[in-house]
Amino acid sequence: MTIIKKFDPEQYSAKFPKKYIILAAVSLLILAIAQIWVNNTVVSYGAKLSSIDKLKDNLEMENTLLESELAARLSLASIATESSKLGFSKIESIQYIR
Amino acid sequence: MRIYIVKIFFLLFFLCILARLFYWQVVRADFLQVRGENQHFKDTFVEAERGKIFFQDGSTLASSNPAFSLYGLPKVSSPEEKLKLSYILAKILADDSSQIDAEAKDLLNSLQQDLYWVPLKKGLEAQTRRKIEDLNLKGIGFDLSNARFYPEGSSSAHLLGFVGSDSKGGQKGYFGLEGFYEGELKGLPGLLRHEKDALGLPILIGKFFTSEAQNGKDLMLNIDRFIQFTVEEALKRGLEKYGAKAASAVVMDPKTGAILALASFPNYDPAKYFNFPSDYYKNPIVADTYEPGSTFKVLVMAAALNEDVVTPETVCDICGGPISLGGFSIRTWNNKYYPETTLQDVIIHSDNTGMVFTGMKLGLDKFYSYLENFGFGDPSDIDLQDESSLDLRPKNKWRDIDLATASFGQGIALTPIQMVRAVGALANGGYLMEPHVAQKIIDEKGSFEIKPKVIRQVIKESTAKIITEMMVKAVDEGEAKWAKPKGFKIAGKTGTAQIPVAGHYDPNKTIASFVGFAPSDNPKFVMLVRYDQPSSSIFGSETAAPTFFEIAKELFIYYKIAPGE
Repeated sequence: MTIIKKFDPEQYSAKFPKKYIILAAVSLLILAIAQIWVNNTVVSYGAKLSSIDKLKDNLEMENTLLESELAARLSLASIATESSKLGFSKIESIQYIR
Repeated sequence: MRIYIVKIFFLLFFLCILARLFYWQVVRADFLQVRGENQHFKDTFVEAERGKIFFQDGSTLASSNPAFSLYGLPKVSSPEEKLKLSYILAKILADDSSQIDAEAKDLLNSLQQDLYWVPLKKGLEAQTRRKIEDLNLKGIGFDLSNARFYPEGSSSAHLLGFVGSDSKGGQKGYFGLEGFYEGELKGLPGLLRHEKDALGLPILIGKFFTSEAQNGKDLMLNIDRFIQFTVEEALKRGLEKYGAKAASAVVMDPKTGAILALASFPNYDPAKYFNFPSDYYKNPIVADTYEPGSTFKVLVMAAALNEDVVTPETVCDICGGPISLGGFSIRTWNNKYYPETTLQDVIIHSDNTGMVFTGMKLGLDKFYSYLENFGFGDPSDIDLQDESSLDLRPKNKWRDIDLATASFGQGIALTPIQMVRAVGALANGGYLMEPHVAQKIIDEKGSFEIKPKVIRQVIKESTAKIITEMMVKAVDEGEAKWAKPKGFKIAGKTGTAQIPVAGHYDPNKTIASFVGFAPSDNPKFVMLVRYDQPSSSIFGSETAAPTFFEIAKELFIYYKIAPGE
C-alpha cells in the first residue's frame, strides 16, 4: 500500500528579519552616544553663555554711561560755561537789515 | 506564635513606611517641588528701565544710569575678616578721609548682624563698584538697579520732581512730571527663569522661561531747552539783584497751551533731593496761591468790555479821589488821582479807583461768572503732580468791598498757572486753553500725542483785540515803559500786590509781578514773572517787568522776530 503522505502545506512562518532589529539597536546606540556627546559638549556652554551675558551687560552699561556723559556735556549750562571760556559772549546789539 | 509576631511587626513597619511616603509624596508634595525647583532653577528679575524725559528738541532732561547696591554676607566671614573688610570698604566709600572711621563703624555694625544678607550701601556708581570688585573681597556682592540721572543738573527741578523710594523699597516718582506720569514712566519688571547646574551656571539644553521686562515709556515735552535756560538764568540774576525771597516764571504758547518754560527759585537738585528741605519740592507755579494785584485788572477790564458795559473811552466819574466803601477807603497805589479819566488811562496808570468803577459797572453776578469762566477756583489740569487750587468764596458771601478789592486783584487768591492761562485767553482771541508740559508719550510701538485742548471761549475775538491794544498802551506809556525793548509791541501789565499777614496787609511786603504776551498782533508766548518780597524795590514795574523784558528780548532773537516799529 502506497502511503500517501497527507498534503500538509508548509505553514509560512513570518519571522521578523534579524537585520532590522540589529539596525534599530545600532541606531539607538548611535543616538545614545550622540546625546551623551552633545550633553557633554553643551554643558560647558552654560559658562560661556554666562560670561557673554556678563559682557553684554557691561557693554550696555558702558553705553548708557557714555550717553549720560554726552547728555551732560551737551547741556546748555555746560555749553554756556565752555563757550564763555572760549571767548564767546552774549549779543549786545543787533542790526536789523530790511 | 513568634513567626506571627514577626509578621505583625513587619506589617506595622511596612504601614509606617507607607504612611511616611504618603506624607512626603502627597501631603508635602508642593513644598518639595518648590524646594526642588529652587535648587534647579534660577530666577533673575530684570528691572524695567524707567522712561526718559526729553526736551522739545530731543535732548535729554532725565534718564537712568546703572547704580549698584552693595550687600554683605555676614555668615561667610570671620570677625577679624569683617573688621578688615569694613576698613577697606570705608576707604573707598567715605566722602572724605575724616569720615572713614565713622563709615567703617557703620559697615562693621551691619556685618556683625546675625543675618545671611545685609545691605551695606545703595546708589554706588559703576566706577566705585569696579574699584571694589578689583579687590576680590570675600563676603560681599552687588545688586544692579537704576538711578535717575539729570544731565541739566538742578535745572527744571520743579518741572521734573524726583524719583524716590516707595514703601517696598522700589522706585517711585514724586511731584512734577515724575509723579504725574509715574504709571507711564516706571514700566513693568521682567523675569528670566532657567535651569542651573551645581555651580549656578545656566544649562543651555534645560528649561528657559522668560517674561520680558517692559521698559517705561518716554516723554517728549513742550519745554524748549533754550527758553527754559534763558528764563532760569534771568530769574537767578533777578533774585540776587532785587533781593527777593523767591522768584518764578512760566512761559506758555497761548494758541496751544504748551508750556515752553517753567522755573522757580529757590530750587533743588532732583538727583540729591534728600539734601534739600522738603519745602523746596513744591512747585510754587502750580501749588502756591497769591493775590495777583494789578495784573488782574486786565481780566476784569476784558470782562467789562465783553459785556459792553464799558469801552476804552468810558469816563470814570468817581476817580477824582479815594473811594469810601463799606467803612474802607480805597486809594491808588501812588495816591494820584485823575478826575474824568478814561478806562484806557485807568489801565495805563493802574488806577484802583477806576477798576472799582469798572467792577461796579460789571456787577457781582457777571464778575463772578467771568471768574469761573477764566478758570479761577478750578485746577488748570496741567500735567504736574502737585497742582492745587483754592475754591472761590461762594457768591452769596461777597460784600460790596470784596467786589471792589477783587476788581484790582486783592482779596482774591489764585495760582500763577491760572493767571497765565487766563491772560493767554486774551492773547489768542478769547479761548481758555488747558496747559500741558508733555507733548508726546513714546513707547516701542509708537507715540501718543497730547493734543491742544480748548476749554471754552471766555471773551469775543473783538474784545480780545481791544484789551490787547489797551495792554500795549499800558506797556508803552505805563510805569514800566523805561525797560521795554524798543520797536516791539508787547502787551502786558505790572502788578504789585500786598501780602496779607495776620488779617491785614503788610505795606512793605509785596508780590511783584508782570504778565504779558508778545508780539501783540501774533503772540508767540505769554509769560508771567513773579518776585516774592523783593527788597530793592517793592514794585513790579521795577523788578518783574525788567526781567520780563530781558527774557522777551532773548525770545525775539530766538524766534527771529524783528522790531516792527
